[in-house]
Amino acid sequence: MFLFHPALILTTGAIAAATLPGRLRRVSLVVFPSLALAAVLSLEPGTTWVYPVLTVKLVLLKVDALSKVFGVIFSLIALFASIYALHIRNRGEHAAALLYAAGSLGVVFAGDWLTLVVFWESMSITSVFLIWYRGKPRSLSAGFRYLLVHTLGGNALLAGVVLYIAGGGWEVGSLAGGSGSAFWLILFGFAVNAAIPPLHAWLTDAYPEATVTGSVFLSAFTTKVAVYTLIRVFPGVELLVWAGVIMALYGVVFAFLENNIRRLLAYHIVSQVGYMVAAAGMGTAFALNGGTAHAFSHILYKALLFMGAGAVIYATGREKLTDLGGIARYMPWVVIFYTIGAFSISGVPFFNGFISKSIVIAAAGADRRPLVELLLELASVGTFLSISLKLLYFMFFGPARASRPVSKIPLNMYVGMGAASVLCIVFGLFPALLYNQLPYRLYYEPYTVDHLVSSVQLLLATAAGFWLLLPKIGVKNTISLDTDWFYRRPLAVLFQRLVDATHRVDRGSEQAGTLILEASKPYFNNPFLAAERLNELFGSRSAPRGLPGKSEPVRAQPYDEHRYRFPLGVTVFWVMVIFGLTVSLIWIYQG
Amino acid sequence: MRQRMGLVVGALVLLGSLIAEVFYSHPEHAEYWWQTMPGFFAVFGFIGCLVLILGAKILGSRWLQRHDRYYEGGE
Repeated sequence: MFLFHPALILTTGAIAAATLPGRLRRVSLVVFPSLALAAVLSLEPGTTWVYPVLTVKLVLLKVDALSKVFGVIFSLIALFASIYALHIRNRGEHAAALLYAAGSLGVVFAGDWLTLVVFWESMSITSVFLIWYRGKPRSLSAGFRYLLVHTLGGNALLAGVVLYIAGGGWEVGSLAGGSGSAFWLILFGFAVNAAIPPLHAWLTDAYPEATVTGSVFLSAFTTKVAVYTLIRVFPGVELLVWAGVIMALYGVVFAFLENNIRRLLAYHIVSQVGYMVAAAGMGTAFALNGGTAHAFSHILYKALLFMGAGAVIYATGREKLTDLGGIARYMPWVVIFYTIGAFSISGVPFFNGFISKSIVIAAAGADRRPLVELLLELASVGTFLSISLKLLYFMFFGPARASRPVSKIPLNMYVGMGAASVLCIVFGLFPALLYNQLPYRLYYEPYTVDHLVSSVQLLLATAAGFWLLLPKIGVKNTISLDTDWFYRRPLAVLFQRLVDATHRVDRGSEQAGTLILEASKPYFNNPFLAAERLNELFGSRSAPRGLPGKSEPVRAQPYDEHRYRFPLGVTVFWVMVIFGLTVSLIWIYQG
Repeated sequence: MRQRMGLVVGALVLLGSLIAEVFYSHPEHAEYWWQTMPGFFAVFGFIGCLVLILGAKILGSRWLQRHDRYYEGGE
């Protein structure tokens, strides 16, 4: 029995990673995530740890089946991603990654809203470093945009939580069926992190600009923590069903147009999270089980896909399909691992996507939503199309545009990919391993003749369509406009205009001030000059013409400022008087 | 040669799946008409794939796709 909060273990791991030298650091990167995983596994559902702080009771840890299964997968992927990143020498990157993972465990086990918000904010602050550490100008600006969007979402959540607590709420629980500003603000905050369009562009903007190993961490935590909170807080909110369906198709369409390999994968995060959001929206026990199971599977195969794409970027230094191709023979193991991830996300039978995605689709059918069911099937056509066919073909096979790889892929990257691959297959072959961990009892058998037949037909037909249109598909060196256009173009122009306008006002007022000062300087030197000038303008006309001699004496005698000064003695006298009065006053009051 | 092999294998698997669907499926579990119709998902997948590819292509070329350096000042 562990007596430490899993997030505390990972935080300690982050400190160790930031301070320990060479080999010890690498040991700590494996040991602490393993300890966190053991700690999560040993938590009994029903456990609650309450810490009274000042006037409130912080519920730092509250375990039930839902939080436990999310805790298991988060600590597991923290371990795999740390192994994948072992070769990285940058201490800061390791520390940021482990703190980020710790934040996700903190949110998942948070029992009250205040704890949840604090860990929620910590996730965006730590994860942005995984983007910035790439060190390219694009990463820097993408990181700032990422941070700004998450600050907006986090503040909306905070405002909602403050309103909710002011209304007497404290413990994290379902808000479904509610309304009012607290409900909508919290939903908005969650929707930003769940990357629900049009609030999703931070994800596809920033994840491809992160470090190779950082994007593996990023792919796992932020969106799936949001899925957890949606399942926990907003089960059965009808709006989410359609938001999820739109996400699933939106991601697929944009992914197909994409040229950057990690941005293509990032659009498929949007698409896959769509299944989970739709499941949360349906809100039945069957659907919530499906959403949870799919989040579990998704974290494994999506991390694996980012690991594979990261290995390609690491080895070749290229990240665009227009610069890749024909490299399969240089990295056969990467091809194998990537294919396992691709088959998992596509729902190929005997891989873990097959056993979890189908629960969500079946739940839509059971919930009498035929259109949702068919549209989600269509999204899985698109998933197979972009990830398994387009990306696999143009990245590894296809026309060779890349020369020999420039760097050798380190062993630890293979270990990370291998571990995730093994689990993708194990959970695909033995679905009960996953089904037994789900929050509700599940009566579902994925391996029926009907299900196998329909999946095989769907995938084969997609492959046929791809093969037929392959000459037309090709890849182009383009990016696609998305909702980040609004803040990268019009808003940026508006901002630039405002800055320019402020700058112009500043410079103009400075020039005007200088002019005024120059013009008024003679009048400060000689106060009588003003009277003289006025006299010249108006006075001379009214003065008798025949007597010019009368105004002459003023000009004859030049102005001498010393004539109008007090003698120094007067000033000294008054200083002495005031000093004497002050001292005597103090003396009187003291006495 | 390899392509032809792939086509033959694909066609055989499709045929096998259709036979399995006709003889071994359990239509009593079906909720909607398409779940009992043999080959529905093959047709759905094929049409869906074409619609997605062509739809995305049109959307991309007409509206969304810009040059790689669009945000850095290129057009």
